Amino acid sequence: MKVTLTSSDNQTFTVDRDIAEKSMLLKNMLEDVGESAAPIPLPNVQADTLKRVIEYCEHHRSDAPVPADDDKSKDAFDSVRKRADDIEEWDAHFMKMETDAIFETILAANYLDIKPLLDLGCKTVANMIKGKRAEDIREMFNIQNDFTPEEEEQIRRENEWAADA
Amino acid sequence: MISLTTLPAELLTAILRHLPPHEALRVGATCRATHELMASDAFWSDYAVTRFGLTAVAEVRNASVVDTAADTVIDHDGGISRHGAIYRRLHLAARRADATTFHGAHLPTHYWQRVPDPTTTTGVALKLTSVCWLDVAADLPGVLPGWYQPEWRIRSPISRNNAEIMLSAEVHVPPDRAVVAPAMATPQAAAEADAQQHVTHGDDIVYAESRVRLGSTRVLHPATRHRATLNTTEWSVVQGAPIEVVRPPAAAPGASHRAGRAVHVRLRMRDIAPVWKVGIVIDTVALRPIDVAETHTWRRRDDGVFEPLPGPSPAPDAPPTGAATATPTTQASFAAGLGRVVDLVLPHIRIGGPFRPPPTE
Repeated sequence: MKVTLTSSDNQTFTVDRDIAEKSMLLKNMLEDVGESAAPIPLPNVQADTLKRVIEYCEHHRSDAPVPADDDKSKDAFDSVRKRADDIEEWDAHFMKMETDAIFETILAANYLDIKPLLDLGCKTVANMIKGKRAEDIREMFNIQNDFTPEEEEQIRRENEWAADA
Repeated sequence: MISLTTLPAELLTAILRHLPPHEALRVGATCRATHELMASDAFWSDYAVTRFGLTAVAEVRNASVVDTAADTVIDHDGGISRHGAIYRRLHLAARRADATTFHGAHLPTHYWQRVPDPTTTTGVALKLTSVCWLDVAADLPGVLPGWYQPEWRIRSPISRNNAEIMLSAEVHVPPDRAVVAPAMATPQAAAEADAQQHVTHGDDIVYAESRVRLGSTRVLHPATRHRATLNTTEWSVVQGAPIEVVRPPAAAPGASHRAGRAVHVRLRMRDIAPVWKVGIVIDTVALRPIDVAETHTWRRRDDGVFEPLPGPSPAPDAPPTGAATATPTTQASFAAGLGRVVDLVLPHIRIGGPFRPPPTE
């Protein structure tokens, strides 16, 4: 069975049902409405992002489904225990995109509830931050420094405890 | 346009979870929006749970005595008090290392293996088959000044071969470049690294050690904290000698901001005598903070367990204890307490600065 998805900019994508069900949001929705040919509108996802998400889901089509999220904290703990740089080659290549697109992908993965993709996006951003100074991080993500020099000094002192952690 | 700072807080948290504290804090130092998020209790609770596990955080929450001690240190330090509770919580959780973070000689090989074990904190235990050169360690970064008791959660068969294993705590004040002491890949490298560290760092490293006989008296049942017999089926807590971590001297002008700041404590299990140590299983090693303000003396109970004797409450204007600036009075009274048990192999150990013998009355 095929499922039709409509992006926020009104493009339609037709995918196999098992691809759509990588998204917990869509899975639950499809279980609720049953067989229906009507397209599902995704007002929070743009076409280019949706296309990438589908590409990801198709590549990971045969992956085991993510177990139900009954203990959220433990789950997050487990995903962190795997090192952040422990990313599969295909996934790493897949995430080679503009910074904006990475954030769009994270938002879409969160909205559609695709946990492995959300994790992948978060790890990718974490890896970009790793080893950078605050100035570098500002530059990379276009962040305006709105601290006074006194506040910056204060924050530096606050953060000392972790300086070599 | 979406960026790091305009992400919903839960997603920014999900990203920062993948970073160690000092890296995460750097994001908080970029602008007000991220700083605000990282000043929230919710963020650090979540962060601590995801990085250290529910067990560790729950334990931290229950440790009210501990909170008092750490608070004092933080407040006294200046500047940090604003978010003291948050930092403290995380920091306490950070003073525990689990089996997955151990490194050392013959690790991991068929001598030492990481095995799944549902009864451990993280589901993984570090198991020794048998080894002659026993030398493994875990590193605890960013330890605040204060008094601590190292606690090893282990199982071990009662064996003469395991009788003289040394549990030690070393402090490393990282020079500008090296944050972590060199990994101990082989016995030779470990020995060389040892020698080298002692030479290059001079007074920056003070090596503190206490001999702990596995299967002897200072073994606590982790739940009841009463005496337990170390055995192969149940976890026990083996306590090392109390140590004091002091803040290293401030950096000289012009030196890297890192110098003279955080200390890094390595907790190490070692015995290289030519007998085959067997069957030891490690879950975690932690630094349990000791509240010196409420502790004047230590005593050894009839069952052999060391416990602090509650002393009279300190005067209301008593200065903070445990910090580098602890007054001679406090230090002397605690040292005097320790003095009582020196003959029971609980030396006065001070790490993080040049060694000083205990003050005499």
